[in-house]
Parts: sequence; C-alpha cells; structure tokens
Amino acid sequence: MGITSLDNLLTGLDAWYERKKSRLDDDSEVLLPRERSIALRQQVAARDVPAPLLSFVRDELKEAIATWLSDPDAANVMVVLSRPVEPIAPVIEATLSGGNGLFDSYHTLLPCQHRPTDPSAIPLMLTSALDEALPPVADDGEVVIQSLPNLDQCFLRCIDGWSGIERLREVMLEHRNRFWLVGCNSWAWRFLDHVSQISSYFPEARTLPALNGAELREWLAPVANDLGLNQTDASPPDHHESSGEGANDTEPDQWIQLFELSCGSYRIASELWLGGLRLDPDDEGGKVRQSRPALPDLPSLKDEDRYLLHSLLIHGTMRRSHLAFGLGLPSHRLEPRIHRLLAEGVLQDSAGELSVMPAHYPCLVKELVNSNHFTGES
Amino acid sequence: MGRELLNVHRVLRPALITAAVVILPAVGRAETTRQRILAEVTLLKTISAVVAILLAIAGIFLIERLTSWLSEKVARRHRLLIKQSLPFLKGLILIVTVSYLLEQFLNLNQNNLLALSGTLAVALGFAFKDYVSSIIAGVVSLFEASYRVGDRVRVGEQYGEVVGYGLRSFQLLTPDDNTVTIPHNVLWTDPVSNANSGHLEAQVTTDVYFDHDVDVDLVMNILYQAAYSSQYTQLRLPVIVVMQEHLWGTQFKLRSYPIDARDEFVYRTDLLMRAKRAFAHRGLPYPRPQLSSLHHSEPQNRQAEQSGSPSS
Repeated sequence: MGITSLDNLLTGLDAWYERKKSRLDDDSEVLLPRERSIALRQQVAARDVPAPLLSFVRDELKEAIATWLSDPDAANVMVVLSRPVEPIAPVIEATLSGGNGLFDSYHTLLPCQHRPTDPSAIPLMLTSALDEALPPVADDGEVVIQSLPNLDQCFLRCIDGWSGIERLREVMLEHRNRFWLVGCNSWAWRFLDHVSQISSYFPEARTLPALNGAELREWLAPVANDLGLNQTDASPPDHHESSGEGANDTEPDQWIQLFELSCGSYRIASELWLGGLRLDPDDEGGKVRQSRPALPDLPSLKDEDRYLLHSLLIHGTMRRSHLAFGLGLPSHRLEPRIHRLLAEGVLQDSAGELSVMPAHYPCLVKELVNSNHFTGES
Repeated sequence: MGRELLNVHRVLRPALITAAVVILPAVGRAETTRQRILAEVTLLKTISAVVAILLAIAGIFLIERLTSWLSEKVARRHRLLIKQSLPFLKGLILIVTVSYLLEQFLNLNQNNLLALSGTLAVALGFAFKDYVSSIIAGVVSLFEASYRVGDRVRVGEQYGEVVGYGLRSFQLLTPDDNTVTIPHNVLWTDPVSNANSGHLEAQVTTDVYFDHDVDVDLVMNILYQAAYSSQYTQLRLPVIVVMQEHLWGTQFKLRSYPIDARDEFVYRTDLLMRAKRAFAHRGLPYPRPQLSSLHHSEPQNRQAEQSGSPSS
C-alpha cells in the first residue's frame, strides 16, 4: 500500500510538473480562435476509426467465430469493451461493414445509439427488440452475426433498469445458431457484472488495445498535414534549443508523451493534441504550432459531483432527465451541478446528451478511485 | 510557679533531647533526598520549560487543525489514515515535552524513580484516580483500536463519528450535529460498538415492513435492486436481504454498505425512496393497522427468539 501511494504521489507530481512546464512553454503562444478550434474538432471527430482497432476486433472476431464453429460448446458471444469516452459503436459498425469473408451476413439488433426519452421505456427497448422474431439462419452452416453495438445505452441504473440485459443474456444463450457481437463501455460492463454477474455467462470480454505514439501520429496525420504541421513544427522551438537536439529526435518524444497521457485512447489523445495547438506568434498568416501535450487540471469536485460523474461514466452518454432519474434526484437539484461542470469543461453537451470530456478522463479516473468508487479501468 | 516550671523542664528535657536526636536527622535526610530528586532550578531552565510547554500547546493545536483540514482535503480513501494519526502525534508531543521537563527539573536515577513513583501513586490514587484511569484507557484504546478518529461508534446511548481524541476523553459528533465528550475509561465498563473499524464503509440496515400476504420474492427483488441502483452503494461489498416474521407482519432487512460511512443517513433515505416508489407502483400491502397492537408483544417475542424457540 505504501509503495502504491508513493507511486501515485510521484505520478501526480510528474503530471503536475509537466502541466506547469507546458504552461510556461506556451505563455508566449496564442490559443486558436474558437471557430477554428471547433472546425478542427469536427474534422478529427469525422476521422475513421483507427485501423489498429479495427484489425484487433476483426482478428478477435475471426478467432472467436472459428472456435464457435469448431466447438459446439464454445461461447457464441464476443464482447468488446472500450472506455466511456471512446464510443464503441463506430468500431463495431466499421468492423461489420468491412468484414467480408468473416461471416455471411449480419444484423444489428438496436441501430439506435441513444436511450429513449422516457426512462421507464429503456429496459423495454431491449426486451421488445428481443421479443421480435430474430432473422432466420439457414441450416447450411451460414454464419450470421447478431450485433448490439451499444449495450451501455440499453440500461439505466434504477429499479428494473437492467431487466433488458438479463433478457438479452437468456436470448443469447438460447439462440446458439448465431454469433453475437456486443460492444459496451468497460464501466457499464463492470456495473452489470456487479448487479447481474453478466461476465459469468460469457467468455472474457476483449478490451480495445491502446494505440502507441506512432499509431496516434498516423491517425492524426491527415489533420496535422492540413494544418501544415510537419515534424519540424511539431515541437516547440524552446524545447529544441534547450535540449540541443534536432527536431527529428524530440518529435517522437511528444507522441510518446501523448500516448502516456492518453493511456493510448485515440479520443483522449486527439483532445490533448487539439488542446496543444497554438498560433505561431512569429507568423501573421495564422500558422499553427504544436505545443507539448498536457492533461488539463481537474477542478475541485464535491461528493455530489463525483456521484454524478460516476453515473455518467457508467452510462457513457445520458440525457439530463435520465441522469436525474438514475440518481433519484429532482432536476432542480441536479441542474446547478451540471451547469457548473459544463462551465468548468468537465462535461460536454452534444445534442442534449451529456458526457465526460475525454481530456479530463485520466484525472477523473484517479479522482474516483481515490474516492472509493469502482471504475472500469483494470 | 517557678518550681512547677522547673519540674516540667526536668521531666520534658530527656523527652526533648530524645525527639531532637530522632527528628533532626530525619529532617536532614528528607532535605537531602529532596535536593537529590530535584535538580537545581535556574531562571534559564524555568524559561525553557515555559517555552517547551507553550510550544507543546501550540503544536497540539496546530496538529489538531492541520489533520482536521488535511483529512477533508485529501482523497476520501486517505481521510481516515490522516485522522487516525492525530492521537499518535498528540501523544508524541506530550511524551517529548514531559520527558524534557523531567530531564530539566529532576535527577532521575533508580532510587529517585522509586521514591517519585511511590509518591505519585499515592497522590494519583486518591486525587486523580478517574483521570489516570481515563488516560490509561485512552492509551490502551490506541493500541486495541476499539475506536479511532473517523470511526462511527455507539457508546451507551450516544452514536456518532469520533472527531476528537484527547488525553482524557474523545469527542463524538452525533447526527444531530452535537458534540458529545466521553471519557476513555468507559472502555473498562461499557461496550463500544464500532460500525466501520477504520474502514470507509459501514453496514447500513434498512428495515421495511409488510403484511403477511406480501409477495416476498418481489419485495426481495426490489430491495436488492434498490441497493444496486443507489449511487451511494459500495458494489464491491455484499448486499443481503433477510426477513423476519412477526405477529403483525413480515419484516425485511436490507443490509448494504455505502461508499462512505458518512453518507449513512442520506443513503438509507435514498434506498427507502427508491424502494417505496417501487412498492407503491406495485401496490404491495403494508401491515394492517388493526394488528399494530400486537407490536407490544415484541419483547416477549424477542426473548423467545433468543432462547431458541421459533418466533412465529
């Protein structure tokens, strides 16, 4: 325990030092204008899922299907987990749409990626979809994939809120003539495991792998190229001078640092990378420069904020009404806290759906662990 | 008159001489012993002793404030660790200060220690018996860990969080925001019930009551789900529902743990709100009012249970 605490302390000090150092480096540089920043965010959000993630899911799926076909007692389910700030549905959908040769056909059980407005309809959404006749499967060895890309959107943490998941478990075990591919966020999976021991029924869930620095650079390369960022521009000039090394030596360090700060998550990494973009003060043409990536400071949180954020991380994204219903609080008590967290930049609101800002995720995990909450991180 | 005085003098003289022979050396010996026990008192020593006492008082004050402030600032899982260090730090300051003062003003060798401890034992035995008993109980409790700062304990009729740990007593902060001071020596005579024993979590029991005809499976399912769905519940710890039969109805006990024992009351309220909404939605029958008179038979019932006979 002592060594762990010391490690945590040293890690914290290290992160704090890097943040302060980054701020000092950036003092002379100017943030991007808001419009340009939003446009860049949209450009990054529109990027395809990183290829290493797709190949990972594809390889795992191939292996799981082969095992299922060869062994009648093998599991007919594969669960893929991601972080709450890293949507899993696009990964599942991209894998299935480009999965020629792996299977004969696929059906998506619930194409809708968000919960219905009425909280009481959430468990019914899944049970009614399961009660409808599933697409038939031919007896000639046809491999049909039944996918559920967003399991975390099919439950709510309230009484009867996860009854649909229990029904899904039964149906999956009942329909062994098709293969089920399920995507879920790791916090939701951990919660469902606590309340209904879901992992006892299925093989070990696969977690999306972390992307290394080179993979992150490759994924962000088109956006960086559009901005005119190349290897020489990618590191702050002060850093080159102080280290006395060439650009090519220091630039990879920055991607390694980005990988370490983001824990290999492409969503967190992209937020940190975008947060590090600055206007070059020496260039009047609006040239962009990349500064050292740093995790943003997490504002001071109260216990109520932690419960709110924990609930939000379990559910991935949520409407305000669902959040209030799940926490058992009236909206007028919840709204001020949501507004504060939105203002502090810890939360983001996308078309009425609240979620945690990816850049705050690493610090938030530590904060919640220290507050005795369970997390989805291993 | 003069002759009478002469006679008295003649009679008392041998007695006075004998007394002088016996008492004067004793007085001399006592004086020598006192001089041996007490070191020479100088102005410098007196000033340094006063400074040491003031520093000790300031140190204890600062440590109390600092641990109290720091424990509420650090991560929740480190809170109790910091709070629990308070009595040890205070004890350390006291030991160092007392040792310094003794070293300054007393010549402590084996004989002096024996003489001093005998004198102290007599003085304390009569005048400060309860005080010393409390101090000893406080030291014993430090190592037995019957209660620590941050624990939620019940002593007699008092229940609350231990917020202070002094030389003679400890302070409980009750749910009504009252501070109750309890001497440590209750440890010798009264049972101390500790809900969390140094952990962040403490079990919370939530009771609900129904008519005998209630669907027990449904009630149990709702209670389990109420616990699992509450944001305060520590899901890493077990959730259990037990039931008990009474003449007037069926009692269900939901036993679960909040993430932080401090949330005990708000947690129980949250559980009851969730459960009662679900009970109302399904129209579950509560115990009938006309059977409430049977409630008076509960003590006998309890005695019967304790003696091993069936309750219903």
